[in-house]
Parts: sequence; C-alpha cells; structure tokens
Amino acid sequence: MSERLTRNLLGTLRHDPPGLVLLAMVGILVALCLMAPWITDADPTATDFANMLLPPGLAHPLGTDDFGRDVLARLLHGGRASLSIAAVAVVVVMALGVTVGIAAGYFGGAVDIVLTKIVDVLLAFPRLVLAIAVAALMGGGMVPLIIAVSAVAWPAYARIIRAFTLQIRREGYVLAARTIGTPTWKVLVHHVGLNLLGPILVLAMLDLGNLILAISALSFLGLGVAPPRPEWGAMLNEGRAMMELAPWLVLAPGGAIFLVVLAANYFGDIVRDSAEGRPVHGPSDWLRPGRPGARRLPRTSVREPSAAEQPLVALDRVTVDVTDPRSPYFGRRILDGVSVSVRQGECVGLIGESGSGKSTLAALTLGLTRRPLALTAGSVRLFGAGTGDWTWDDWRDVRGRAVSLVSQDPLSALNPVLRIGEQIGEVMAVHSAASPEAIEARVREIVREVHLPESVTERYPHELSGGMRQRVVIAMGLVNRPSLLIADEPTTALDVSTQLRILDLLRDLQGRYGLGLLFVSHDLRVVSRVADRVVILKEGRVVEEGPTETVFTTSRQPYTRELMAAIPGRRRELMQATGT
Amino acid sequence: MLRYALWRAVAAVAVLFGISVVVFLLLRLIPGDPATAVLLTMFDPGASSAGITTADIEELRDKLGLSDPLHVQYVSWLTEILQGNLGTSLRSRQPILDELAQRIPGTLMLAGAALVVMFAIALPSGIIGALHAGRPADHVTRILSLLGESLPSFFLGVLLIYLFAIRLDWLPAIGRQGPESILLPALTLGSGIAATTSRLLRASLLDTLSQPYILMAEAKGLPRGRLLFRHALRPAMVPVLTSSSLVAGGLLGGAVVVETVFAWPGVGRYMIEAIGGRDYPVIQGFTLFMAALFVGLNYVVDILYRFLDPRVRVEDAARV
Amino acid sequence: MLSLEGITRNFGAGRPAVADVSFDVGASEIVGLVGESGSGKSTIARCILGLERPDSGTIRWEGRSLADRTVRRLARREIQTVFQDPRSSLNPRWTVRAILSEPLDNWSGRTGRPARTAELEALLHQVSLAPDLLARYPHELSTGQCQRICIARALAPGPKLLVLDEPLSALDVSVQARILRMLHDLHRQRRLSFLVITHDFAVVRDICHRVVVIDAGRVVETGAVDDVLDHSTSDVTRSLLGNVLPFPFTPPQASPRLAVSRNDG
Repeated sequence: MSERLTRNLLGTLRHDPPGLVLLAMVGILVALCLMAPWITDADPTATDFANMLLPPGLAHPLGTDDFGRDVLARLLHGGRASLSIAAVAVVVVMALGVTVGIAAGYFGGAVDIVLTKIVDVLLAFPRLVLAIAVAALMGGGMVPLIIAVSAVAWPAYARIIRAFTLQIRREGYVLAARTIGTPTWKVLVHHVGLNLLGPILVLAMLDLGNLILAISALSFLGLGVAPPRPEWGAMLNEGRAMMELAPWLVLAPGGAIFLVVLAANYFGDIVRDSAEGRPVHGPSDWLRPGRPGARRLPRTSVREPSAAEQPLVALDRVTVDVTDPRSPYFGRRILDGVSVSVRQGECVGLIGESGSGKSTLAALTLGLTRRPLALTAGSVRLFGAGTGDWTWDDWRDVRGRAVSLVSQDPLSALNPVLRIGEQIGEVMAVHSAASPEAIEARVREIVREVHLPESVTERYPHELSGGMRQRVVIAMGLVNRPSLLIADEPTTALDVSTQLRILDLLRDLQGRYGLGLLFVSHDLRVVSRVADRVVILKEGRVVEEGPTETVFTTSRQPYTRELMAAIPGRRRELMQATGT
Repeated sequence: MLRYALWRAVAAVAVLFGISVVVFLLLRLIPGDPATAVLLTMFDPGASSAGITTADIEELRDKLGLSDPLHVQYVSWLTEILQGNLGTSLRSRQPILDELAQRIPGTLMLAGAALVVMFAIALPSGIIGALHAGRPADHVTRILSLLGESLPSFFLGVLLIYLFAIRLDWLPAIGRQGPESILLPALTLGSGIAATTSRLLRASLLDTLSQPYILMAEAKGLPRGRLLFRHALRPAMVPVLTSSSLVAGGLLGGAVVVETVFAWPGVGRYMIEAIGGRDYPVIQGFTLFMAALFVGLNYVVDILYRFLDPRVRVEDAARV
Repeated sequence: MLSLEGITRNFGAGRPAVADVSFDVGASEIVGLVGESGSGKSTIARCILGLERPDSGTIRWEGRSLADRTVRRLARREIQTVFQDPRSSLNPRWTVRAILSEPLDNWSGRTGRPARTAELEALLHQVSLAPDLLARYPHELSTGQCQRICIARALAPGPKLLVLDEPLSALDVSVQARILRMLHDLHRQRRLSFLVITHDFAVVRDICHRVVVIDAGRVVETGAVDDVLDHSTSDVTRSLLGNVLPFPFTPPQASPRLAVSRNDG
C-alpha cells in the first residue's frame, strides 16, 4: 500500500470518532471470538434442560437457548467459525481473482478470451442463487460453504483486476519503462504490481462485508457448519422460532453479524475515499433556493445598455482567491486587481498561458465563480449595474439572454443525452414567452446562421464533429440575441482549418449582432485574428493592454515580446540567437 | 436498434449455453456417487447405504443415463431442457417446470413490490445526498444507507416480524394471507438493495453535476428544476441502470432468503424445501431457471439503457 | 545512422497503417516526421523503438539490421524517446530520484548513493533543473518540468538518437520555446540526432534540418526544410502548410534572448 494512502487513511480516521468507536467495538468482538475458549468456560454445545431459555443474567450474560446452551459461549465460538470462514474465503477469492485478472489482462489473446468467457458465464448467475446451489449440492458444512462463497465472488474481482491491468499496461510510464530498457519482469513488478496493490486492497476491504453477509445467509439457510456446532447465521435461524419468548436468541447473533458487516463496510468506504480522494466540495449553491427574504432585483434594471459608451461588462480591480481551506491550493491568488471592460461591438482579446487566471476571469463575468474560488475585492458591473448583491436568480435572468458563454471543449459543453434542437431551443424557452412554433423557427434560423444543416437539431452531440459541436454551442449562445458573448478558448480543441472557420464565423456574427465579445485564449495567432483590443494576463495580473496592432507591433513589455518570439514557426532566430 | 437487439440476443444465448454447462456440471459436486445419493434419499432419507444393493445402484445409473460418457449425458440433458423438460421432482414426482411455473408469480410479485420500495427509498435519498453533499442531510442519508447495506436481510426480516407482527400485531408474520402480507417481505427485500442504489445514485449525480455541460447549462440561464431533472438526473441514471444487474441479482438471490423468513410461497422457498429433501433435480432446475431469468432481465435492461444513453454504440457491446 | 527501408505495418484488414516507408536520419541531424493524426507516424516511431515489429522491411541502426538481437539491445540503449504527454509517462507514485534512477540501474549497474546522487544531479543540470527536485513527485511539478524530467530520463542511458513524439503539444508557448531552446543546446553540445514527430509544420520550421512528410502511411515528400516548406511539390504538404495559423504582425526588433530560467517551465 502506498505511503500516501496510509497517510490519508490515518488522517481520515483521526478525525472520525464514530469510526474509531466502531472499529474498537469490532476489534474487541473479534478478539473475544478468537480467544473464546479462554473467555468463557461454558461449552457451546453442552445441553442443560434444567436451564432452558434463561434471560440474560449473571450466570449466562446473554441467556440460554432452548437446549439450555450458553448463548455467549455459542456466540463467541460461532464467531470463530464465521470469521475464519470469511477470512479463508477472502484469501481464496483474492488469490483466484487477482491471478486470473492479471493473466487475462497482461497476456491478452486466447488466454484473455477463455478466461473472460468463464468469468462472464459465472457472472451471469445471480450470486446468492449459485452459492446456494453449490453449497446445497455439496451437502453443507464448512468447506463447501467456503467453496460456494468463493466460487461466486472471484469472477467480479477477476473482471475488475483485468480492467486495472489493461489500463496500467497502456500507461505512458509502462511504455517509457520499456523504451529505457527495463526488463519485463521488472515492469510487471515495479510498475504494474505495485500500482495494483492499492486497488486490490480497497476491493478486498469493500467486499469483506458482502462476503460475511453471504456466509451468514447461507448458514441461516442451513447450509453452514453442521447443527450442534454454533455459527452466527445458523443461531439466528434456530432462535427465530423462540423469538416471542426469548428475543435475545435472535438479537445476539444478528447484532454481531450486523456490527461486523457495518465495520467492514464503513472501513471499506474510508479506504476507498483515501485511495480515490473524495471531492473536496459538493455542487454549487444553485441547487439550494435563495435565502427567503433575499432581495430580488427588479428585472427591468438588468437590461441592455442605453448608450454605446457604457461598457457592457466592466471588471474593476477584481481579485479572486482560493478561499476554501479544504482546497490544496488554499490561499493562492488567482486574479490580482484586474480591470477589463468590453463595449458594444468591440472584441477584446484576453491572452494568458495556463495558470494566468484567464478562465477564472471569464467565469466571473457570468457570475459562475465557484468554490473553492471567491471574489475577494473589486467589482463586476454588467450593463451598468453592480452585481455585488445579485442572487443566483438575478444572474440566471441575464445568462443566456443578455450574456452568453462559448466554452473550450464543445463536446463536454453539450449534454450527451439531449438532442441538439432541445439544447438550443430551451435557452429561448426559459427566457421568453415565445410559442413553441416561434422557438422552432428561431432555432432553425440560428442553426443556418452558424452554417449547419437544419437536420442537426435532431441529432445528439456525439454524432457531430468537433467543429459542428462548437457551432452548436455558438448557436446556443446567440439564439436570444445577447449583447455580450464570452468565448473561453473556443477553438483550442479544434484542428487548425476548423479553428480558422470558427474564428471567421465568430467575427462575422459579432458584426451582424453588434456583439461585445470577450475572447479568451492562450494563442496570440488566434487572438490576432479577431480582437480589436488585447489584454495580456500573467499570473493573475494585467501585463499590458491596448489596441491589437499597437501591442503586437510596438510592445516593449518583455513578457509580451517573449510570447511573440515563442510563436511556433518563427522560433528559428530564437535558436540561432542563443548560439555562441 | 434492431440490429443491436439481435446482436445482444445472440450474446445472451451464448451466455445461456455457458450457464447450461455450469449447471450440468453442478450435479457432479454431490459427494460420492450421485446415483447412490439419489437412491438413498428416494428410499429413506438418513438410511445407511448398507440396505441398497449394487444392482439397485446399477439399475438407477442406467435409468439416469449416468453410465454414458459426460458429453453424451450433457447432450441428452440439454435436448430435454430445450424441449422444456427440466426433469421431475424426486419428492412430488411432478415436472419441475410446472412446479416452478406455479410458484413464480409469487416471487415476481415480491420482487416487483421490493423494486417499488427500492425506488421509493433510493431516488429521494440519493438525490438529497448529492444535492447536500458534505452537509448534515448528506451525512444522515449516508449513515442510513450504510446501515441498510450492513443489515442482513434475514435479521431485518426477523426484526420486522417481531415488531409489527408479534409486538404490535398489525401485520401477518408469515405466509400470503392478504394484500397487506406483502408489505414486510417487500420492505425487507427492497431496503437492502435501496441502500446500494442510493449510494450509487448519489455518486453518479455528484459526478454529473461537476460535468462541464452542467456549468454550460447554468451559463444558459436555465432554472433549477430543469438543470436538475432534465440535464443532471438523466445522465446520472445511466450508471445506476448499468449496475441494475446487481439489483436484479440481489432481488433474485435475496428472494430465496426473504421467502424463507416469511414463508412466502415462491420459487425461493421451493428451492429451500428441495434442499431439505435432497431433491437434486429441483435444485438443478431452479438454478438454471433463475440464471435464465437473470440473463433475460439483464437483456431487457441492456436494451433500455440504449434508449437512455444515445452514446452507447454497437461496438461497445462487443467488449461486454 | 538510422535507416528505414520499405517498412510496412498492417493492423488486420484494410489498408496498412504504414506502407513501404523509407528514410534515414544521419548523425547529429534533426529530421521532422510530419503528418496528420492517423497518418501512421506514431506506428513508425513504435517500430523504431522496438515496441512493434514491422511486417516487412528493414530498420538498420548504424548499418546493422534491428532484426538481430544484439543490435536490438544496443539500439534500445542508443535510441531513446520522449512521449507526447509528459505527465502520464511518469509513474505518479515515484519520486524524481526513482524515475531517473531506473534507466541508470538498467544500463550502468548499481552504484553507491553519493555517486548516484551526483549522476542524477548532472542529469538534472543537463535539462536546467535544480537538484532539489529529486525528492519531488510528478504531481508537484509543472508540465514543463515534467517534460524536462522525461528528457533527462531519455538522456540517462547515453543515447545517440532521440525520438521526440509531439514533444511540445502539451505545453504553453513560452514553455515550448524554452524546451525547444534546450533541445537545440543539447543537439549542439552532445551532437545528438533527433527524429521529431509532429503534425505541426511550425515546429518543423523551428528546429528541423530535414523533413519527411507522410500521408496515409506513405512518404509523400522528403527534403531540406526550406525546400519543402517553400517549394513543395506535394498537395498533401501544401494542405498541411495551410494549416499553420498566421500571425500577421512583426515584433518591433530582433527577438529578445530567452532566459532559460531554472525551475520554471
């Protein structure tokens, strides 16, 4: 197990008192079971008809059953049986599952096909049904029980381990290890094996509870160890008939199974969270309706600008920090006193490399700043109105109607299960009282305007090419004729010729709709094609701004000039200049 | 679509074939000579083999076809199965298929009711858990589903009988005496599966909510209800449905246990009675029947899944 | 030094991924292998690296065929590679020390810790990284630093040829420029040969001497960079060239010297 996992695990447990209590209880229970002969000298199988169905008391802490046997002794001895069966089953299941999984995943070919088919067939049975059948036909008892439970549990492991192996085999670092001459066995052990260890342990933890449940269910059905000897599931079954008179006969074994399974599941969860990393924060605040009594803006205040001089959006010395202490980047400043504004009919190009805060800035103009980020200073004015006290619903009213977003990756920006027509039309439907016919007509019109065939409205996103998807996103943004469009790296995910066509389309639509366009990109070449004015951002600060041509032809800013010198295709001088 | 359905059907038949081999081989698990075992139980359960002559065994072996080579036995067995003959019960001397057919409505009714219980619990708790992730409401649903997952169904069933039938005397403890008698078994069977489904839905919904297309939908100015139900919940249901074979397996396997606890007249209880009476043909027939039912259910879900998620392609099916 | 003669590689039915490809890379030469995605350039690289075997044709390393086992062993040491995505080609659970030690263990045997540390620090110095990075994990490094680690790992066995598979496409432009400059310096100091695999003619123009253009698994054009770029005879090349985004402005003066600063990019 990797150090990181162990560290996370201990860290999580330390802050989890209920978990510790649960683990302690189960630890004690397990220890008691293992030491049963030394804890209680009562014989778990000795009948005593003089002392039948005694309630819990001093002599018999958990009472006696209908044969006068001591329930505590039976519980502890039974636990020994139940737990050792579970332990053996886990080992058998892991050994089989891991061996078959790695063999199928690593060797591939015929080995993989045969093993996968066997696994598929075994997985096609309802697990418990097959286990019952196997145990029943083998006649019950401890060994058949282990065989039955293991036989149905290992295929699921084999399948998961196979998938893990396949995945690791394809990792770049396994390939890299081969090219630097690392022998195959070393690759298998150091890269594949060690990386599998974590997932395997997590799986074992997670499924331990299920195994114990299956084992006790089988023994409840009478397929476990032979009757006079105690075992939790069987005890519960025997106690059932006497429940009205002696509920402790059911509660003691039932509670024990419950406690152990609960601990296994709980601990499994913790292990999984430590291994995978639980998301630091939940979904954003839109899911919860605004505070009752929160001030609602009169909708009329958020209209289009009255005069052309008024900026559509004006960010004034905005500062954004990572304010969530649970974030690993807590305290980092993303934007530092940045001022940017966009006027009607103007295209502002915002240039920055990764980590410059340019996407954060784009999100800010739509009120989409999300935890762990928060605006800590400065103001955002949209259409002349301050947005400082806007509620989610106020923002909702302008988004998609007056200001729209075109985002970086057009595939992930479209909902995979909804048709294109619906995704475009709904923007209009939620912002206006237009009739369905009017909406449909407008959708068809806008689809034509972005040079897509009308039939595209009946398609799903995955059926379109990258360029077509980005046109759909643009259509979604423009369907309500907004006055401001925020384009966040709208062409990065596309190939060059598509980039050019999308840029020309954006430029063309900007003129037709009189849009203000905030165009965010890392690529000077892309920005130079559309922007009237450029703003250059570095590490959260504005380095330079001005008309595109002025900046690109006369800049004395070292960073701007470094960016220009680094444009692919003109770096040869750069190489030669360094030669000595 | 039709091509896909046909393709999946072919795959399902292939799996059924594999299942038939496994089920056929299961009978070899019986310790000792199967014929001896069968013979023993037919005459006198618990008798020693001393009273049975070698001739008796040979006669039975021939009658059951056990003297033939294994593959011959398999082919003749499979031929019978394909003609709808699952064999005859040793105890009742009735065709097993008829006996199963008689009892399957009870099991299906129970499973259906449990499914309703499952959705009634899992949908709201999964959604609440995701929407309030990291907040008290989420912790409550997480703890509840953890408890639900950890509580063995036979223990829960017994507790419910104790509380509602014995203590409060509101509902019948066992058997099928009226419409209300399904309540406790359905609750028992449904709640355990609900816990798993709820956790799955919560995780899946959380994942969906962090997708870029939800941010985009928010940037489009969509109202909350539409964001949640139209944009988030539908894609989030896809992984839940994918794992429905877990649910179906849990229902079919759990039915055996729950029917035993509540003496509910269904195929599960029939199986347990058969185990008690060492009625090997019934055990075999039941296993085959349940596996076939399971494959059929998974097939239906697989087709449904394609309706829910347009991204799934025929090629993807090839890898399953 | 490296020569490919009539390399063909088939994946099942359909047209071959690579068909009858021949070209060579001379000593301390930088050759660009250019084509669109799916043109077969990565398959060629995998054949050269011995990760795949060609169905027909011969790859020669310093005149001797790679089909020979001892030559393969030699080539495995003398031909090294840097993959496209620097992050995924570093094992996330290993420190930089472990990552860089792996090739040293493979090729120069185990040495004492102080000597090993000196070797590792020399490697880091080659790629302009500070020695204190040895204790870090890949996720604590920037993408540019990861790419430098990958280059250092490739340098460790003492190669004569580096196969660079889209070495810049995962990086920011200013980082790209620094990595390019570093590669240029490596080329000058160690007289290394490079085979640069890319879809981007801009990168070819930046550092390559010669270029091989492939399309649909076949070589369509070869020649000196300036000849091919300015007087191409092939439609494929011209259409690839058209895919370079123009930048219509000329910076004010001669480009500034780029400072290769330690630890950034």
